[in-house]
Amino acid sequence: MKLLTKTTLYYLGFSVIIYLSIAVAFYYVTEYLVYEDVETKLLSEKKDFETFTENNGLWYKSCYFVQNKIEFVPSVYHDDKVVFIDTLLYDKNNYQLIPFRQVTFYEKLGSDYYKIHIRKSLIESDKLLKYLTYTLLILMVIGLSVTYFVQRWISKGIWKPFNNTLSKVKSFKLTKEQELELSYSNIYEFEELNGVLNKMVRKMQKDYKNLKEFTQNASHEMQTPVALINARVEELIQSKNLTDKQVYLIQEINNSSNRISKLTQGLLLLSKIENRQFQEIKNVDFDVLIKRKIEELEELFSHKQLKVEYEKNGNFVFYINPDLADVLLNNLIANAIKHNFFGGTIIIKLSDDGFEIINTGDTLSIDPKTMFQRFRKGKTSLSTGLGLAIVKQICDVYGLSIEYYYQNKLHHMKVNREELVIGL
Amino acid sequence: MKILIVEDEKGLSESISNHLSKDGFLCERVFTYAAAEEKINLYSYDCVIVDINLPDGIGFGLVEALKKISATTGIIIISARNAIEDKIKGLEIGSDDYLTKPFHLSELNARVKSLVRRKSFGGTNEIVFNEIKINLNKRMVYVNDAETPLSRKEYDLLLYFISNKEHALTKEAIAEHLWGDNIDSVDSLDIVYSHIKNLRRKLMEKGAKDYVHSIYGIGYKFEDH
Repeated sequence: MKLLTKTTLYYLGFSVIIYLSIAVAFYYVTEYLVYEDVETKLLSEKKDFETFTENNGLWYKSCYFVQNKIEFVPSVYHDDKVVFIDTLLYDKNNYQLIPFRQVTFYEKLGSDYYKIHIRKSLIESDKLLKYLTYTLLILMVIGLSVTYFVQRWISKGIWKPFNNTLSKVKSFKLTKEQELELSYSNIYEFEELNGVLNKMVRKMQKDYKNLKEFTQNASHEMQTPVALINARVEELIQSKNLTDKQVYLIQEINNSSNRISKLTQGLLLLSKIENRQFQEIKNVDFDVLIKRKIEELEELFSHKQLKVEYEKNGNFVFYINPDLADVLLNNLIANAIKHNFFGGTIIIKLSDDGFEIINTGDTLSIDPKTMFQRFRKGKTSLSTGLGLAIVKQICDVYGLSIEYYYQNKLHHMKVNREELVIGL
Repeated sequence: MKILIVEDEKGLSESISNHLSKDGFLCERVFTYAAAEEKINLYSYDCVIVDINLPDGIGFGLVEALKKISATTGIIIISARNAIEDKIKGLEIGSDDYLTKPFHLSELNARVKSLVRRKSFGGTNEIVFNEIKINLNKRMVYVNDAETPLSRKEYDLLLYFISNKEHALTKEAIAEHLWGDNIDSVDSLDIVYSHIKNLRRKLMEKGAKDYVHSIYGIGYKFEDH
């Protein structure tokens, strides 16, 4: 639920409760005041009545012509209580029942006791009360809706900087070296939030940059000593009459230093792709590239007696750095060769939106989800474990998607142009 | 043939010098930009090997200076920076080749020789090794003047062997020379073996002696003895 909806709902809920309570209280207060007024009048009339009967000893019905005003009932029972009640009486003029407030008491007239009712019509006060309540309710509804809309309108304005910030943070990508430009807000809380976010992002960018630089520098710095080791090993193997033991040691050193140099080169390549240091970008026709690669790697295929099929079902031309396109295809095909059976098959399919490399091979010894991570490799592999990480990085940087799946005992590696999600 | 090696890492510079001297090159070594500048102004060299990152300067400046002094000197840049822009820049300002560290000495040797061949005035486009003759322009190989058809890789392999004759070569160096360094595959070493086998067979069929000697556990050596 949106914050605005939530606050509005709370606001409306409480407002309705409070407004209704006010309306009820108002009703009863008004009613109380009306009754008090009527009852005071009735009591004073009772007093008038008593004075009259005291002086005259009798009450003449004719002396009070107001309809339903006063009523005598002879009564044996009598007490000193004075009782007020509401009652409805038929009005002969209007042919309808009309509310009255009546006071009842007992009085001795002459020698007999009478039960006496004196009444006052409530019709005017009732109307007053009714109209007051209606007016109040209508005003409340109007007031409530006006405040509702005004509040929504104000909230929208007030939350705008927050929403701006949010959408900017959403579209922010650390790997793309962009500034998080948050617009200024005159609301203290939001300005504080923006400040904190800006600070955090700058710190993140700095750390990320440091990390990248470290990888790159470390790899760079390692190149020279590795070059020295390699050179010395090459010198060493020139000597004649090496013993088997010495050859074995040299071999080990050579293998390790070759691995280090491959690793550092791989890491350097990765960080360079990450840093977008490959600036030349042009449209690469993958049909041409695939054909060239198949030719280039021919010896590797025939060595493992692999059957290579190329199915061209479309034209895939993509805007990418040509060297990296080469690396991308190279690593994927090399992978398909490496993890293949002797005498297996490699199928390369090209469509308008990408290409797919399908190969036979043993089932995966690693989780497919982790296969694109650095240094992730199968049990038997002597490789650096960077090949697919490089592939993934290239795909990420240039907007390609890569997907692996295993179907009908075949490994599929599918590279497609990423669908552009507008507004992302 | 005089070669100047401008490399601040003394061990590496020494190795390069040892390796090239063995093939009859006269090597001089300097370790700083200033010393290199002095040398190229005083003497002339057939080939200069320049490291880009020197303690007192960037090697590109040396390349530019060299180009002004002597257009015929071959220049090879060696650098720890594999950046393509650096490579392009180096070639644009007049270097003839670019090698990324770490490299194999045999690769550098082959590049130096190819460069010297190209640069030498009226350059021979033929390499002769006993009964084997290679015509570089036509990319053709003759054994005892009989045409010997080789595949592209076999031809490259033979040229590499002859450029590095009498040097022991590791299988990795050969694989890298033939397929570049982006073949991250163990299989390539086995393929080296099968290519060498084919090359040997084709040469010997035409009556060449078997010059390829395998060195147990290390690699191969091309020599006549």
